Amino acid sequence: MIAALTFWVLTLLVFACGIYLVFTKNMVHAALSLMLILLCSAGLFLLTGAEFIALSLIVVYVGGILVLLLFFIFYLGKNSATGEEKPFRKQMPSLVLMGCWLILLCVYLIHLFDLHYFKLPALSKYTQTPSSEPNVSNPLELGRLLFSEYVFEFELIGFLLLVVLVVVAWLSAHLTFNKED
Amino acid sequence: MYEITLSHYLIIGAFLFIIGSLLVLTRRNGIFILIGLELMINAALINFVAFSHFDVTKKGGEVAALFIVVLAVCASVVGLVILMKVYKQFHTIYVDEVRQVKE
Amino acid sequence: MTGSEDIIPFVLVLATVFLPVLSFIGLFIAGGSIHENTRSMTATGMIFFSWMSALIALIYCGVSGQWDYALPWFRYLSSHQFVEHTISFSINGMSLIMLNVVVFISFLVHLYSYEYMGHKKNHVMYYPYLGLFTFSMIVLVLSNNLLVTFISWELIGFCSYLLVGFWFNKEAAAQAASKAFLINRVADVFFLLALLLVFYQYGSFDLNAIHDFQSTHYSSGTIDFSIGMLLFIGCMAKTAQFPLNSWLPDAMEGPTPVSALLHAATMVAAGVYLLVKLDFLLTIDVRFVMVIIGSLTAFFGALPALTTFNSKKILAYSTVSQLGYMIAAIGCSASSAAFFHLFTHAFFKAGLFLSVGAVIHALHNVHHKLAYEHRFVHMDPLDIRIMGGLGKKMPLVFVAYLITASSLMGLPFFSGFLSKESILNAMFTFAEYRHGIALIAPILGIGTVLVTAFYVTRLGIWMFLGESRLNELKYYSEHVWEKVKVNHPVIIVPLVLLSLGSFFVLFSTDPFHASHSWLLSGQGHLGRVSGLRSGFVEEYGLVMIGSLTSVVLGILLAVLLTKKRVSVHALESKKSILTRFYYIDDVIQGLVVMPLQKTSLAIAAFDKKGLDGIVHGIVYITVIKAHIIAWFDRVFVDGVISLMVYSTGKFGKAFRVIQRGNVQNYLFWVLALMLVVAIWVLIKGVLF
Repeated sequence: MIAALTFWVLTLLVFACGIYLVFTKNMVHAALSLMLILLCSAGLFLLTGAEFIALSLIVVYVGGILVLLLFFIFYLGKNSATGEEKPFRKQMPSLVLMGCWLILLCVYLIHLFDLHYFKLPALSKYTQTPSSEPNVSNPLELGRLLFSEYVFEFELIGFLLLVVLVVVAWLSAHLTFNKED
Repeated sequence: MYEITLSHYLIIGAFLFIIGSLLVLTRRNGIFILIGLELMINAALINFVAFSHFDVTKKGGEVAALFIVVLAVCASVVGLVILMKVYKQFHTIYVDEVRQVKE
Repeated sequence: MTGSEDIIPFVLVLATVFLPVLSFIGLFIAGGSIHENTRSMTATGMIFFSWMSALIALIYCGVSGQWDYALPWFRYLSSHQFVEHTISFSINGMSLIMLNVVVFISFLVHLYSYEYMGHKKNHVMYYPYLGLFTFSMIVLVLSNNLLVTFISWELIGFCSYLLVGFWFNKEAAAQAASKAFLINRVADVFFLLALLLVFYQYGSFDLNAIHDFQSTHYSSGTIDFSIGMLLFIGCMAKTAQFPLNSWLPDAMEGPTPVSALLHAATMVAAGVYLLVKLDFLLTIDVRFVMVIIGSLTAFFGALPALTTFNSKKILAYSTVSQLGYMIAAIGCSASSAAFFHLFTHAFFKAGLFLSVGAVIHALHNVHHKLAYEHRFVHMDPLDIRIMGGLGKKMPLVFVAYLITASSLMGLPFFSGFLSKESILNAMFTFAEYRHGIALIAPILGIGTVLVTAFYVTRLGIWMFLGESRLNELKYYSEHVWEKVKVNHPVIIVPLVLLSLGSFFVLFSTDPFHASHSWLLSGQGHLGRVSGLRSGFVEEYGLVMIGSLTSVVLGILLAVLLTKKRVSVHALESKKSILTRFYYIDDVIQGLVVMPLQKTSLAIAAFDKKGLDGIVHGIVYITVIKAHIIAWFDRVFVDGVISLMVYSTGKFGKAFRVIQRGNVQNYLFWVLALMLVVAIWVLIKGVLF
């Protein structure tokens, strides 16, 4: 019961932030909306029992990327926010398209209602994640899986991170952030 | 209330994806485009986690979600750096004002 | 009997054959680099040795007996059998005698040429040509294979072309040479046809084989007649029978020694010799034709000599006439008489030519002397109108002339008398046995005797007797003559030898009868030929009286009718039939040459207009076709490409609006199309 309610609240928040994102012109508002969406989706993850994912979302995503984004937005300052968006008429085709997509997806997805039932655990009572081994926490389980089942992908991702690190370092070699620029 | 099914989560994911692609399609501001990109990736993340709920032994979805997080991070960082560089060059973050690659 | 194992005649004959060849080749290659006197001495020496070996062969072998030698030549397969052809030559009395005649006179001519052809009148090729000619004549004489005979026949014709046209810078000489060669060539076609028929009939070119074949098979009919006729026609040009005889007077353009060798003794005799050798192939009808043509030639060939003023031409007509005699003799089945006359004729005609040549040489020196003293006077050394009274100035030459001329006329005690009597006897016999038209033969024969006597005497009077008409020339005076050398030994010696040969002694102990001559006793190959018919002895005296009468009559007429006092400027009638030699040349020109020229002109015109027109037409058509293709190419082919370019451009322009470089636009389209696909999938999934 509480789980369902939580679910609905989070869902509503996500929807609201999303719609706000579409219409706002303020970059800071947009970034903060994104942050809220991420937090809500983290909550949703918790409801399904993917605790590690939820937390990593908050720590990495919100705490890393969004902060970086905000830094950049603040750096840009007021002057850069003077541009106007596209007139509504130019936006129309995209809106129409996306509307169609939405309808399509919803129609299709609602159709799936009868097929799978979600068993949502309660907040406190159902912290037991459905897992093959009871009494094993989610992070531990994920950790074991990473190093046994998905070790190749893990290494690959590590390599990708390294490459991206180098690339970004190189790209931003001559980037200086002075107010005069 | 009725029970929460998989479809709910999927609809949330779909919605977020639509929002994200809308932002990418219709916004002039580079920041907004990056935000839209994030949203799309997040939508995929939700989908993955939703499906992983039914994979009890291997939890492939959650692992994939982990990796997706990493990928999203990389993508946004690189995108941001590029945006910074473009700003340095053209003194604008509006993508339709960037027409010529100047020296 | 064939003494094929006897090597000595073979060796001697080889020496005889190859020494002239050596002369030819050696002087051909190296002649230019040695002095002309050395050249002539080398050549003369070689021919002398050639004659020596021929003489030794004659003495060794004698006139009886026969030696045949055959060298393998080539063979081919024909109806499963090998057909062999050999270079075979036969040494018998006839060929040895002829060989000696040829080589001896060639030697004398070589000797004579030392002086005659000195003074830069000859270039390097004179002696090589003479050597080549001698060689080919020897091969002809000795050959026993008709193919080899034909080859040497042609070679002789070619050498006569080279020698007659020796001074080729003179227009007249070059033309005469071509004329001689071409007329001979025409006859050679018939000769070749005869050879082909012989091969067809007898299966071989070897004379021994043919002879044996013929003696064992009865043969008559059209093929034999054709063979004989074609052979005769083939020999007609060489023996200067009517109508192929107009080349002989013109061939006098060559040097006098050449005339002596070719047109007195050897080349013209080649035809007679061949006919005598191939006597067994001639049928009765062919012989009849030969008699008629021969006697006609004899008489009418001699007539122009009565009016012409060119000394050498007189002798040329004389040769024509005497050859007619020989042919007529063969026609009367008296081949041995013909051969006899051939032999004697060689001697006295060569002697005549050489003595006349001595006179010409002297006059030529006079001309040179005057020119050297810068006194240019137009004179032709051959013209008898400027001669006269030379008997006192050149006594030896005069005597030689007298002797040889008497032999030609047929006076007793001379060789010519013997041979001519034989021929006249044969003619009378012939007329006796075949009445009717055959009677003209002896009549013409006697008439020719008269004419011969006339012109010979005329020539002698004009040249040697009377006043010297040289004095009438401008600038001339006697002291010029004294400076001129006229008695060079190499000129005199040949004259002496030939004059000696013109006496009867060489041939028969009896000055009046030739029947016991050693010449006629051994005719190995002519065994079948009847010589003198013994049943005719009773009328023998009649013939002799008749001919002697005509000779004397001719001399008297000549003495009476020849003007002794004639000026240098006496005119020669240009239009007379005799001068134009019966218009034979004009007939040939009109019948043969003009149509040929017209035809070739017509063909050339056709080629120029017709064929070239066709070519032009093709060119035009091709050019027009090219233009059409170019138009087509421009409009259609290029048009297609232009169309493609245009459409691609328009298409591209139409679709260019999609891509504006705006990434968001791209994404929009991607999503739009994906929507379409999704809808389609959905509908598909729903319906099925």
